[in-house]
Amino acid sequence: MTRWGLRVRPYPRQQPGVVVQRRPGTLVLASSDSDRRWAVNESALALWQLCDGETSREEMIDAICVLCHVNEERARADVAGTLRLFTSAGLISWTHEH
Amino acid sequence: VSLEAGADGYAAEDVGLEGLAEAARRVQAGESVIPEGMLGMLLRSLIRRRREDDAALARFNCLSRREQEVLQLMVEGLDHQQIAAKLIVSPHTARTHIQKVLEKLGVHSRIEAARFALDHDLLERFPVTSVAGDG
Repeated sequence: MTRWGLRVRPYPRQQPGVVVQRRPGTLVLASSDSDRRWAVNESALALWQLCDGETSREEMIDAICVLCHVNEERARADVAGTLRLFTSAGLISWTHEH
Repeated sequence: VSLEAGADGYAAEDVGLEGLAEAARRVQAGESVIPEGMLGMLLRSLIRRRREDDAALARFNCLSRREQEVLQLMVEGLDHQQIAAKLIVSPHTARTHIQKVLEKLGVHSRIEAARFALDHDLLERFPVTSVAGDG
């Protein structure tokens, strides 16, 4: 994506109306608009919580590398894959306004 | 901060001895141990700290080499007369350098400036080489 000839990095943002439900042994992202539910693990939930429209994918990757002691290639693949799933499930949108 | 510094795990204070032993076993097995529900908060805290460090570095980079040296001497606890003597400049010039450093870092005192440098490890990460006597 380019704007005025500059490369613009998009920022993932949670879709409104999606809430976290913690049940014993299960984490669920639930859409109040559509009654759809997605079971997620702790890592996916943590990533979803970072989708605030202000945190870049690169910041997420960097933090995961440091905190989880994984190499950049693995963190990049995990973050990209999870955000792709969130996008296709309609759990996040992408903003270029920053 | 401890995880950023290389710690392999984080145990909450209510984890108990058994939980601590389990965490130690997992770390020994090569895992990084983060209590359930804390990963998001820790990631956010780490990202916030990285942003603060980046902002601090941007301010530090606005200092001239001489001003960085003055900051180093402030961290060592020198007053303006000692800084003047160390740099072989007049006390007036030393005061001017100090004032510039405070302005550029957005702080109000030598102590605040020293704390700013220490909090963000600026002089550890970017050591200043001496340029004594060139004003």
